Amino acid sequence: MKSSQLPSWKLGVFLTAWQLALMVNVNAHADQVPDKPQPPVRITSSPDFQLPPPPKPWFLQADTNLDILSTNEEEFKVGAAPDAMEIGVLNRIKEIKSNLLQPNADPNSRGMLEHLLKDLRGQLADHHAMVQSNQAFAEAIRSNPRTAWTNMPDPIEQSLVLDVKRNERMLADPALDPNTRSMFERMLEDSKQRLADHKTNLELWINLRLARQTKDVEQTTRAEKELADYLAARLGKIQGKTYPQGMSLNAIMEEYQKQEKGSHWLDSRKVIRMVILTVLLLPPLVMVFMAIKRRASR
Amino acid sequence: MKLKSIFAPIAIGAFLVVPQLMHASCYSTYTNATTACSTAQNNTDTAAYNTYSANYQNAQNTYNSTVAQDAVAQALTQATCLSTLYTFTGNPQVFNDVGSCGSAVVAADQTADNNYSQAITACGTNDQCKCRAVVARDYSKASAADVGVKCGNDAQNVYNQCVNNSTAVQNRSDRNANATFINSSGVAYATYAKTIATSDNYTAPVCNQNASTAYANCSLDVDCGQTPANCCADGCAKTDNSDCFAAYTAYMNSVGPAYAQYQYDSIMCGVTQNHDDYASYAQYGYDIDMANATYDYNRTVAWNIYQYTTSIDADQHTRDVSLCACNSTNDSQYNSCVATANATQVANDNNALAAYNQKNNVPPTTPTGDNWNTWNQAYTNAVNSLNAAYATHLLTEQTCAQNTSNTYDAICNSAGTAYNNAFNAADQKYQNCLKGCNQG
Repeated sequence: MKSSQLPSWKLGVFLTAWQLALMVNVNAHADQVPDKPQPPVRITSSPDFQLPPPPKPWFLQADTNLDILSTNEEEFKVGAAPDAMEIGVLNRIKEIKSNLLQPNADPNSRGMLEHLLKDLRGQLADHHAMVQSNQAFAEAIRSNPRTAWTNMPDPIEQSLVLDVKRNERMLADPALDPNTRSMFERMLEDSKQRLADHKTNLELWINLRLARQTKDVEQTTRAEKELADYLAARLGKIQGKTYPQGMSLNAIMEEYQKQEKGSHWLDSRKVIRMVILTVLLLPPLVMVFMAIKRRASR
Repeated sequence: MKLKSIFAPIAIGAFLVVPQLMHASCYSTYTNATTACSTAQNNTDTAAYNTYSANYQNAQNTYNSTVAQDAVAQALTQATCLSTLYTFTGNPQVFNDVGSCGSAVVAADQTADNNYSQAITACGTNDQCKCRAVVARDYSKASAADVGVKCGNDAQNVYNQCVNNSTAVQNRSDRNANATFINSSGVAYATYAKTIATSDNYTAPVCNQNASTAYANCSLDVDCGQTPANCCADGCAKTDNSDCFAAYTAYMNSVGPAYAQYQYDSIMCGVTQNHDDYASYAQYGYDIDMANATYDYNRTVAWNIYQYTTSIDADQHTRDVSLCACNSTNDSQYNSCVATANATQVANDNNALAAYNQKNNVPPTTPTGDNWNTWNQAYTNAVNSLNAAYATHLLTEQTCAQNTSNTYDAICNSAGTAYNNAFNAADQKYQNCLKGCNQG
């Protein structure tokens, strides 16, 4: 038989259990009672699940391999820079380096700063290339001003080259996340293709001019044919149709003019339609309005 | 004669020096113009960089502020959870505070004692009656204590759930703040990239081209001044230079802004996808946190019920055995009575265990049970939802990138066509002009 003094100690156990946050087994059991199970553990993951990974961080994460201090000597010569753009870029590089050397920059900020640093270095190289191109042009013009059309820096090519370089710089960032990388890969391919197209296009025009200068009929005819074929293929691609091979340059240029004016013609047709509608509809409407007004005034 | 001898060398000298000076003047104008291009480019780029830095910092500050507010909100919620817990269990810092659970036990104890006194008085000299009164009192007190312990356990369980829920809410809010930060910093970067692309890739080359054309034409004027026979061809070349510049500029004015927008839109397609992924992951994390919190709560409810039931079984067993002692007149009767009590307790405990196992059964490898099934379903739903969201975002991003690229393509095609027309017109004009010179 059990003691009859249970209630007082049970109350004590209750209070202690709550203040110590313990789970206690307060009863003694007879031998026949089944073994108590262990309390279940908390589940935090299951082997049956392939848990989706967290999203990749946004595309400019910190690059663990970037050595901020190993930099071009030139970056320390802000005072000696020859023009405003170079001075500006060098100052921004200096500021970013200084921010990157702060010990407690968070990874997102660090990634962005590192990317900007690399981009600014690229911008500086691009600017140098442009300055050199300008100098080469100045030299060529000094010796023969009439060669401008062969020596003039082509701004479209410059622009497309810069597009290619910008996309290459983005892709050179090892911290780029896969989705953004594939997007810039597409953009790089696209910019390379545009550059190649533009170079071919301009080269064929220049070849034609050079051929004309030689006054060699055969050479001129060949250059015209090459240009016409190229322009026909290019226009066909835009329009989704195929032009016959061997069209004359004049014929294909007529097609180009039609293509360019197509949208203007549509616009003018809209204008004509509006004018006709106005001419036809306005007088009856005015008459109806006047009649209503007259009746109202009576 | 004397005059001739003076002016001849001056004229010859002037003939030699003036063109050089004029050319130097052209070159000087050219370098000034390219310097101005460089300054304009730098001003635009510097402003873009400063704007980007300020916008990025704002995005960062907003994120930090939200996270700090979330932490405060969580602390307040948890304080409320704790306060609720103390109303049940009593505050350990307050002397003699046993909470509503403890008060109920004390009251039940008092009632049991009162009932016992009344029963003893009523029993008079009847020992068997007194024995039963003791058993009834002890059972009442024991079961009241069990109810009190369960009350406290349940309150603790509710408190744990309250804390877990508030953590889940805070985690979700923090992750959403991160998603917002991704979007804001993405907009800041895309805007910067757009401005730089316009400034470096288009405005600067056009500005330099303008300077180059002016320089070439100035040099042609010098050539004409130097060699009047060249003037006609020089004039043709000047017109051609200007026409080519117009063709380039028209192309660049169409394609430049389009390319900058293409850059911006492409970056934003990725940023939007990344933002949406993070927002969905925030919801997924919340769902998982809540599934875990619910599982934790449910398993503890089942465990508390099991503990309570087996404690009551034990109390009943104690009462039954004590009553056997009160009521039995011989050992055989007592032993039979105790055997029945034992069997009743075993049956009751087995039922409690079966009920518990129905809810929770977590063997080492394959968990089973109602609570696990609920948790498993919640996990499955959360995982499926997240995977579906990721797939949708990726598809949207791809469509977005394709649309952006198509828009840019259309503008490039249109500008390219106009460029070839302009170049053709310039070429024909140039050829006709040269023919005119030759015929003249």
